[in-house]
Amino acid sequence: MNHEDYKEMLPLDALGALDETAAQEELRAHISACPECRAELGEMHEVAAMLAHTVAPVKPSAHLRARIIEHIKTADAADGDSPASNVLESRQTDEDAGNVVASRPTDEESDGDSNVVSFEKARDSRRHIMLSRAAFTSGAIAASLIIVALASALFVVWTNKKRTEGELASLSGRVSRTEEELARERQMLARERETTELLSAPDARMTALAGTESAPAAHATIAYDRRTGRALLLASGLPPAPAGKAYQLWFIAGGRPLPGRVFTTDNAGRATLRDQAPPEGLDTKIFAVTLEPAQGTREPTGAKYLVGNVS
Amino acid sequence: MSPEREATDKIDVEHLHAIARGDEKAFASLYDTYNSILLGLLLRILNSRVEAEDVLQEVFLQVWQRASTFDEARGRPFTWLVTLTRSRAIDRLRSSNARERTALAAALDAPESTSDDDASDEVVRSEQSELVHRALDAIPEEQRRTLLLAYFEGLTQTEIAERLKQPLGTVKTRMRAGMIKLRELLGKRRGGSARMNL
Repeated sequence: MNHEDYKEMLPLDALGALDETAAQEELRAHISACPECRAELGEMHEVAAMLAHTVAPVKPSAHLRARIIEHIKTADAADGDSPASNVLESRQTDEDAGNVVASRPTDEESDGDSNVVSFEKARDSRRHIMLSRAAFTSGAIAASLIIVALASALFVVWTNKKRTEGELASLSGRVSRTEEELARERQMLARERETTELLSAPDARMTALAGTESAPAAHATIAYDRRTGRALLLASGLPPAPAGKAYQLWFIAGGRPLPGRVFTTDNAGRATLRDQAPPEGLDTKIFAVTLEPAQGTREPTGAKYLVGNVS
Repeated sequence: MSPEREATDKIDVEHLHAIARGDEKAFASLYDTYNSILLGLLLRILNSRVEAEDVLQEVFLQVWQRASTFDEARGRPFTWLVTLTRSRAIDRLRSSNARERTALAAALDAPESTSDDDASDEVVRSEQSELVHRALDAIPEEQRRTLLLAYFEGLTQTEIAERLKQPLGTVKTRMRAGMIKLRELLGKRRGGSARMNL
């Protein structure tokens, strides 16, 4: 392939639409060697990113900001690779150094107190040496050396202890994050398996639900396995439920509506709901969605938003 | 480029440099500026609020860790953020149960054009969004469709060809032509009426 061939791939690369092939690796190599293609790819990325402006902005939940900021602080403590953690480490070193110079581990634990005493003594004796060196006997020198050695040893023990505590905290932070991730992955896998089982079940049927007068733009699809009663509803175009209200799914069997679960939509009016038809509702003929009090009801009371007949 | 956009870019660049030095305030400002547009994008791709907010968190953690790799000589901060966000979203889409929707949509051969309709129903739009919508409206429908399928559904050229039942070569040509036309339209606006942009 030549320069022109690679250049033709750039718009598709910026859209992430190239297939995973060996050609992609060659393209990467070419881009890193070709300033013209690099500039072109940069422009194509700018164009692609502008597509984000076609989507309506959506405000995240209020707690997310605090959670993210909390996380970057934990990330600092736990992740040794981040530049920010380097800052923290150097801060720690400064503090240690300060302790050595000023000998003031004032508000530290009890072994810190002995540190102060020893350092004061060491400093006093050093001043003494300066003032009247001649007066010093070899015994006094030996004694002060021992004090200095003890002080240093204590200091080393104290720093090691601090460091180990820090490492322990960062490790346990990392473990709990990994556990969280694992739990999330497991949950996701379980849901995916559930969906695959449902979609591949021999008795599974797809039913389309159309929006009523209350929501003409709404539509939904239900995958329903009449043998097990498992249902997966995917709805879109629903208006946001007013405060205190939520949508509720109904399984209508033998002319009787049986309550399903309640749900709300995201800001784009979409919702995904997994549900289980009650045993007497396995032979559902009609699915419906109504607007109800947020906790749900036993009998439908609100307006119908979506309806679909099982074909 | 408009003076307003240049000014915004400059502030963003300063924020990213400060974040690279571990400045939490700059990080919070960047979050406040872009959280809504990025969450909108994530929702559009993932169709799930929970997933979208989860990925938004991942994205900002990455911003915190990788701000030092941002190089303003290579592009705008906005592009860097959006590219990072979209790529995390597509990773999540390919690995998570958000795939359910795609599987179902394909199973039912559901119409794919809802996105455009949703967007055009929006009452309040930023000028930037107005600009991109107008540019998109000006390119042929079949080109626009391929771009949106790739960008928002995360489909590759081959997958798009299968979905649209068109030859691969045709799809590639349409995407390329669409992108080049879009660049021209966005570029022209930039030079022509600077006041249109923010």
